[in-house]
Amino acid sequence: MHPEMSLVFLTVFAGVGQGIFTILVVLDALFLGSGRITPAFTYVAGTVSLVFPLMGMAASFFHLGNPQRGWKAILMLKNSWLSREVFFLPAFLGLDALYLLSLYAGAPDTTRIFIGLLGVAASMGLYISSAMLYATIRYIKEWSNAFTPVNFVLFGITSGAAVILVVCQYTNPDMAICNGLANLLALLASYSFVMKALAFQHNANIYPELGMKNSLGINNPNIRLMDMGTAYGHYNTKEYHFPMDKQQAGFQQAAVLALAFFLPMLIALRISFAAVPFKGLLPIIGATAMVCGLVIERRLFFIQWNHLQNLYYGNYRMNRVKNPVASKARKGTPLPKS
Amino acid sequence: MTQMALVIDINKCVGCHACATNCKSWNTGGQFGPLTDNNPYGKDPDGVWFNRVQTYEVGKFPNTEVVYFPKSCMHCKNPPCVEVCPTSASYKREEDGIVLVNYNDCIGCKYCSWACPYGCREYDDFEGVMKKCTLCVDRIYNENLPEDERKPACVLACPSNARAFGDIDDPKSKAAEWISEGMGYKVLPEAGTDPSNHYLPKRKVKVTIDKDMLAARKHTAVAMGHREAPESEVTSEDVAQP
Repeated sequence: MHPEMSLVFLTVFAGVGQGIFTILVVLDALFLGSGRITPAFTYVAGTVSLVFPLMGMAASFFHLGNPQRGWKAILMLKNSWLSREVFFLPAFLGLDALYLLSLYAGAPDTTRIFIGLLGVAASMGLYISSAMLYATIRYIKEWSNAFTPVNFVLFGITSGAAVILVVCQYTNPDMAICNGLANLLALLASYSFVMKALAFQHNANIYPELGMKNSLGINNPNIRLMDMGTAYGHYNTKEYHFPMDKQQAGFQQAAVLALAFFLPMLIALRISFAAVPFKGLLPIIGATAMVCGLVIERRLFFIQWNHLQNLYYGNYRMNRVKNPVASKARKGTPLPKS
Repeated sequence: MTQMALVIDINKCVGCHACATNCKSWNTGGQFGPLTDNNPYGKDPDGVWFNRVQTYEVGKFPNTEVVYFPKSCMHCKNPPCVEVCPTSASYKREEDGIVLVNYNDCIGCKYCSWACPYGCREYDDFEGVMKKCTLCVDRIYNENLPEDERKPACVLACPSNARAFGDIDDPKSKAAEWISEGMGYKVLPEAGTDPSNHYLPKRKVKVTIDKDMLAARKHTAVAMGHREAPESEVTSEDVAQP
């Protein structure tokens, strides 16, 4: 598909904000009353967790043909994941702002934590609905698998950890918390690295079950498109087809794994093993690399889809993969000898 | 249940694109228009069409044949595009099963087009809304038109009578008759959308002549001074319908 940059920024930036907020509330609840979480840390992290999703939300309006009536997208909560996403995004932003306000107004700790936990719930709702929006489209096998929801949540929280680590370095003097966050980041980044590598592997090995013979209902393996019914392509041929050669795709996949996960993991390990409170460029480089890597990752997520409707326009990518069912039958059940 | 739909006979379609041009002509001025064109006289014309005729080559050279495949919205009984629409702009009418888009509610998020396995939704980037075949809902009930013209524009235009329109759930309708008599099938049933538009297959009519008939024909041919008919069984491939 043509990569929709507005959606790339929406999902990545909202994910970062949600991750920061989730970790912030969990830290706040864990160290409640101990004084180890400074108000400065909470204010800065909370504000950053508001700014990122707001940037994503602003970007998302560029995706719409009629943004002025975008509010109507909330009407079909019952059956549309997109509607649920549109519901959870402002809910999350509102609860995030309310959480900061309750800290500012000096509300009781339990009230603040309660609002924070509601915000975390909204954040999880937002992660799940954004991911399910893609995962429920069963005509795109690259999306409709378990990796999509798992990776949306995992990458969101990982990127949140990378950014909150930077905030922690500068606003929270408690070294143990910074080191704990660095450990968490190293752990999450390594998980994410494995999950993304597995997802790339999974997508490269998708067996194309359907072909032009199914799309036309003509039982012949040799069908070739001669004319797509338009002189110069149209919405469906342009939107759903974004050719990228294998070398370029491989390079970008390696860049995603290195930038988004491997480099931040190394940096997190370096910080967690530091003997003195670590302040410097390294955490900033780690967070920047992760966000940039995730932008490339989300862009590839769009480019590397293969929509079933491409069958009609001769653009369907046929992976050269053996039929898994046939090969399993051949291995497992030998023909009876007569 | 009433389900209006088109039945398209691939065997009869000659690929003249009259259905597509008449569709564009009616709908660009109809209730669901305009069908915007970008750069119509430039080198890269691009625009909204509800109906497109695609041409395929089937088989390997030299045993090939050309198939013309007109494709418009299938008006599925289980439409995934309606299910995903966040604003309920996409809806399926209860009274006749036609799937329509309410342009006043559509926000142009394009999610419905992702959900359509047939690629039958066309985004109008000038108006910022998704458009699609309406089965000429502004024609088929239009009392200002003579009764025999209350059909979709594509059906009216087809010179080879390759299109039938009607309620496929009513066995007496022309469309249902075509489906049952012409072995109508649905494309991409694997998608699970239960499309309402049906296609009639490309068929070959094989005429087998037995030996007695051949002997009689041989006598006639010799008597008329033509070359001798071959002794072997004659099989003629005739693509026209009987």
